[in-house]
Amino acid sequence: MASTPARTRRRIRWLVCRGIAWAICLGALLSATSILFRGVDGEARAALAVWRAKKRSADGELFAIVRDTRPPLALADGVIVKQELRAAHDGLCALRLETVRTADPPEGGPVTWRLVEMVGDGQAPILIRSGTLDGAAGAAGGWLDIPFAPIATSAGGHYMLKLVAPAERPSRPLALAVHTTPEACEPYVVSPGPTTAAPPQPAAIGTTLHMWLRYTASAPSPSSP
Amino acid sequence: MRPARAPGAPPPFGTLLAAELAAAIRHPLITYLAATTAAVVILFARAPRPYVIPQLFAEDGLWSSLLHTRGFWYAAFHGRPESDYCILGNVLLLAAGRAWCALVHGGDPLEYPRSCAWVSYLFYGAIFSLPVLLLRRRLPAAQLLVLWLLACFLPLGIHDSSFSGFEILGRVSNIGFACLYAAFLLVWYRTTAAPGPAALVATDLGLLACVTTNPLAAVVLPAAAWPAIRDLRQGTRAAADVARDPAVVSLLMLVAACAGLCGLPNPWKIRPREPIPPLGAAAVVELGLARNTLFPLVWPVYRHLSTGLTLGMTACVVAAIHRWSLPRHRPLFLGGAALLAVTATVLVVFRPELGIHIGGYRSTFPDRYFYGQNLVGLALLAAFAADVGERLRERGWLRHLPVAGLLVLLAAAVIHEPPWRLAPSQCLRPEGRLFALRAARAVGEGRFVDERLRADPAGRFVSIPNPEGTPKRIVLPRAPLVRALVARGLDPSAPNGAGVIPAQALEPLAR
Repeated sequence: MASTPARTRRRIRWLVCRGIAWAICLGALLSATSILFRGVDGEARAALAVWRAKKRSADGELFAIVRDTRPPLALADGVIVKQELRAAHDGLCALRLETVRTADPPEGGPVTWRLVEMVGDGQAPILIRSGTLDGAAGAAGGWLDIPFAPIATSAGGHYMLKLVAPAERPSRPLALAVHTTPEACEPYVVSPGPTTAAPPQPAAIGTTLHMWLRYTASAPSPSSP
Repeated sequence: MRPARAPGAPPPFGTLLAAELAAAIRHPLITYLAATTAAVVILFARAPRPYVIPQLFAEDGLWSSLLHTRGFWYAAFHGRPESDYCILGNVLLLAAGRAWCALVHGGDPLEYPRSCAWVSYLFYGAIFSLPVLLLRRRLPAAQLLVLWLLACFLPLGIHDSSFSGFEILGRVSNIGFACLYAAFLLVWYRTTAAPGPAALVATDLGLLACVTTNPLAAVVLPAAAWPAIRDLRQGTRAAADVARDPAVVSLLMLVAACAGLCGLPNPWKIRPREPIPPLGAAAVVELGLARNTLFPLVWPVYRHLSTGLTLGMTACVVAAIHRWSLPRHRPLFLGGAALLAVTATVLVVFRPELGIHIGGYRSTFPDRYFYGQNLVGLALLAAFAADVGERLRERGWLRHLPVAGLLVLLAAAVIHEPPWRLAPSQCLRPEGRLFALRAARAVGEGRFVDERLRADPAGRFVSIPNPEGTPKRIVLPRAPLVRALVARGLDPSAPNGAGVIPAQALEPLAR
């Protein structure tokens, strides 16, 4: 019969072997999981990036999730509407605003628009793009599209869209849809036309124009910053 | 020529190591861990969104906020607004996510949602692989393997346009029905394996965790008493012996612990506020039988079913089980049928609004209410396949027919929801990536609260608006959040709360 020290040595040997064997198995499992997980992660990120680039160029980027509909905002009587927005990507090339659909097409004159960039504290905005569009003709299908030359470095930009309505009020003016939205987004501000002296009125906290931001169709590569 | 080893001398170290390695590879625990890690990869491939674009979705946000502000036990017992039952398992996983975030990401709160997603995949992988550990002596290896694969590829509506693929895998809020499946397997193991003391304690602790996460899991507890009841009825053991049986004592302690921790849930508390008309007979058949019970078998033709077809198929299934199941599995099928019947009844009576979603076999949404029962159905299907295979043992190649049938079902599932293709449900709610921006803005605007969520400029927590859904805000610890924002270049002290936002902060995919 083996002596006690010999038995103890044998037991220690056996425990060490068992420990090493289990460490090898567990290490192999962890390594395999990590490699496979990273592989799937890379594929998923690439697929999501391609999908999002396609969606941005096809549908644009939603400015804010909107919920309950509030009374619409008529673009008439020379009102001035301002809506701040932030662009998440380069290549901002169009804005799309939801309008109220009516059975007959809306009437009205040209709508002047300006896109300014709010730099610093926003007291000295910089004019980036501007133009005039035929609101009535451009609002077919329930959306008012405002295309402009792409802004190459729009990512992270803080902008404000300013719309100036025609001075008259037709019987069926073009109207923008207004929705409630959670408070993380800027509410729009509406100023009455030049015929009145009332001050600008910000909308209630939690209301916004329903807007989509469109970017030029360039999918970012997964490795690009 | 190698010198012969002296008799009684220990084997060489290399030989011993090789033998131990071979034994370790075959060890049930290693097999279970291998199955779990493989399941984690499969489930992640099926629904990668929660990890790639992490966000705290639905109750994950609410319970995480409670975990951070009020602590573990408060969140576990008061996490549900109605306080109708405790959510120990959910909060346990969220706490595990927090611990993982502390270990791997230095406690960065903005990485916390990703850590929770990782813990969720691990949990589902472990539960789906549980039969590999618990039923290795109860089912043949072929049926066991196919059961594991069928669980990993169970159709969950991931490739539909609904939220099912967005809200189950990678989330913690909907693990409750997985606990139903786990409880079923644990009781199956407990009643057939005669576990030793350590295994018995582990099994009963697992059952306790299941019941304190989803009170419906308590339905399986009476089945755990079946061996003792059988022995008493057959007279094989005296009542005194049964009363002293560790399994019986442990079961009684388990029941007492469940009652003490959970109380008796009031099912009326979970009724929706708006009255919903009761379901008609056709909707009851669809919800209770087709979706809740038969789905693992009929999902390829689910949208073509009707009330008559569902009833007919149910009758066929019952007849087949009665005709071909083996006597040793009869209690299993009865217990499984009882579990499915109780869950169907609970859903029909207390959640009739589910009938609106799936009305007319148009959709399988909301899959989160049914996947646990479907997994139980898969386990019963595997057991039935084993019984039929056993009966066809002498018929040559015919004995492989049941497994072949399950493999066909598996192939159809993989083709129906291929893990290698990005599902539309993974692209929902793209605004989730703005969480860091909203957090920076919340800090910049001074949205600080105390542990009771009262506004407090010196509060230790930040209340971050969550516009996309519920909850309306997510509360995270202030100091680590500010450090994390500054590290990302989002300076909360700048005007407008967000300062200059670099493109990297807006594009979590580009890492």
